[in-house]
Amino acid sequence: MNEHMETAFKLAEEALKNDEVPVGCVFVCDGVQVGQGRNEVNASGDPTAHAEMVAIREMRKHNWSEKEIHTFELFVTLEPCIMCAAAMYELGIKRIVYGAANQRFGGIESVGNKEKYGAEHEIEVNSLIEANRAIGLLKQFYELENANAPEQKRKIKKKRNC
Amino acid sequence: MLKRCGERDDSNGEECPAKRREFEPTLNGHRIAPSVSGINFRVLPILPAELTTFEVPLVQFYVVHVLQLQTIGQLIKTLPDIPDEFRHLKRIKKGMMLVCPVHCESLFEEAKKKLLGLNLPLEFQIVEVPAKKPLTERQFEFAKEKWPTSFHSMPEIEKVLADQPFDGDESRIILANMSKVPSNGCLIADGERSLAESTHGTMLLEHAALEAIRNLAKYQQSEAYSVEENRFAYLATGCDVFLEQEPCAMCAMGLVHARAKRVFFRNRSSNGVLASGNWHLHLEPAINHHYQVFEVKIDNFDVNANASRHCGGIL
Repeated sequence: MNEHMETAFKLAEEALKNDEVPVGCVFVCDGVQVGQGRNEVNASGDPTAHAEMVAIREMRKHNWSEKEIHTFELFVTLEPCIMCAAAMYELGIKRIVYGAANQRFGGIESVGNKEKYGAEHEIEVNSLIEANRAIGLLKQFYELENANAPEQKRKIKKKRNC
Repeated sequence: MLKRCGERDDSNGEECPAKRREFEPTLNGHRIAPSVSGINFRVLPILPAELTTFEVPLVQFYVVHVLQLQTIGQLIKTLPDIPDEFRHLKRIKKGMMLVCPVHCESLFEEAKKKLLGLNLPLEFQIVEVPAKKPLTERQFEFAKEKWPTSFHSMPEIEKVLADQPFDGDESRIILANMSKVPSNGCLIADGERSLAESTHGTMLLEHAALEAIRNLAKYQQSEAYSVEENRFAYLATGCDVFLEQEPCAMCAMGLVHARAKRVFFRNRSSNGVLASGNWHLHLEPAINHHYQVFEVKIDNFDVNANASRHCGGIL
């Protein structure tokens, strides 16, 4: 597998060990990893501390030129949410590679998309590279989280159609 | 539809008295032109059409006229179940009973055969009934004239739909909070109390709303907060967010993640996704949290002519 995606997964696993939603990412500029992040919402109490935002905020230390930003490639284990995806369109990066689709908040194609944001910039997208591995991590997280939760009683309604 | 409070009513020369009395003393801030004696402002909700319309769509149904009331029980047992999407409709209205939607032709034929088999005096007819459950009081008024339907009033929505959604005290708080928003910035408040604020910056993705959310998180994790607050606070739950610019998709989604309750903005943005553009993020059904959105129009406000009309400040 791609070495950058491998790094992103290592970060996602680190997030899981720290009781965070297991998502990790790497920013690459000209083949070199220039930024990385993993979800740290729970530790920081900041609901916007998603992997991509954490990476970008760290990368603020360096004064990136617009030209460099336009060559950035993002490798992320899960489809960026609407917030992070819109951020990538605003930055105008070159390419996004993601592991699995994010049905709840996905901002590339699942829920949001560039047309909805009014973004004109085009980003090259490679999706579902490692869907099972990414979803497997998320499942582990939600199973851990819900270990003490009582089993939900579901109302089963008879569906009636004509 | 919404009344401009504080505005002169030309017919009798009077002003909305409560507004004028309450707003004057609280708004001597630098952003209000000194010559202003009263603040004219409107708070416009940004709502989906399905809530703002006065009517609900109609659909044709077959009904059977019950000519002998004592046969109702027998008929009900014979009639087919009403399809799920029309479960809001009551079965009976003044001697008429719903059979099925006109578009369910085979269902009707089957039901008709069974009903006729009862050898009772019956007459069939087509009527128009509400195709959707009414969502607002005024839709309910319209719908119930057509056919009896269930309805669950949503007080929060009714309040927003009213001509004057906010009473004097709440209007005063909204205007006071709005006037505290830093230039090109964002303020997060719990009622009258400011909790966090920020402006657009020049660093990568340094937008006011996201930075304000971060500042709120820092404040909530600080010792000062734990000393001051003895209640449980989760992110911006129950908080109002005030913005100079309508937020872009990144900021608007950040405010969803922060669980904001209401979002107020003054200027529409070229990259806005709440009122401008063709997508309204706060109305997206797939998203699991929805805040209310209001556009605040303030007359005579000392608007900065050079202000950005773009969320994010720098283009």
